[in-house]
Amino acid sequence: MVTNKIFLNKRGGEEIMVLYLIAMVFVVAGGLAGMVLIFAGSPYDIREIEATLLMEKIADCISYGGRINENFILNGTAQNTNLDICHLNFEGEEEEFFYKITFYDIKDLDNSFMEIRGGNLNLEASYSINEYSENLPKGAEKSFYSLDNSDNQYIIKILTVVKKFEQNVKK
Amino acid sequence: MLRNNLLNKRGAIGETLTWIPATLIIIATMVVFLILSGLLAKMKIINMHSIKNDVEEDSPILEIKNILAHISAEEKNKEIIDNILGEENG
Repeated sequence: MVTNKIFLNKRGGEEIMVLYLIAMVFVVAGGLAGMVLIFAGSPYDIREIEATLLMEKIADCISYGGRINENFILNGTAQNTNLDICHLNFEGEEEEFFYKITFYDIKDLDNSFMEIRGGNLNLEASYSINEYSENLPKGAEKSFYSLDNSDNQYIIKILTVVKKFEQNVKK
Repeated sequence: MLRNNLLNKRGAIGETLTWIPATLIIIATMVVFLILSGLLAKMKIINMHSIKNDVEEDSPILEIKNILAHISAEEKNKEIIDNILGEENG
């Protein structure tokens, strides 16, 4: 009787197994929750798209239908040196963006004809284009061709840089 | 008889030996998947190519502007300008 009670009673062992199984369920569930949190908690990095869209907006403001807006160049003379007429709305985040527009007369490509800069000028020093780096602001740079009202030909180079680490890069 | 019962632990040891590697495998798998999800999370980058697979140019708007300017200029210096833009835009 005593022997049966002490040595053949396996209830304690079963309880330990149940506890072990519950612990394993928690481990697996915790692991799955962790995976979801890690993946879902990491933001999408859309800085490249943002930089490209800003560049296209600026290009649309500067030139339309192959002609440079007369507020910028009129009869071969530089007019505006800011983008106020473009009504770009940075929603109070001007420090997160930088843009530089350089006009080159096709007759003198070594010297810029006119330059417009804006936003956070410190961003011009370091940015990455076509290469991914979490720690660098993302940039987009393209050139296009346009004419002024006197048919003078210009190459216009637009550089845009977007910082916005907080919204696009997990700390 | 009593002595035999006390000393015969083979069943219990065998069971434990099965559960220890099983536990280790489960934990190792979890760690591997956690690391993989971390690596996948770092690849959450959306660029122009990922949303416009069918578009060859990075910025078709600028390409259209070039074409319109060439038409307006009656294709004056077209070759020179296209070469410059090709070099600039890669």
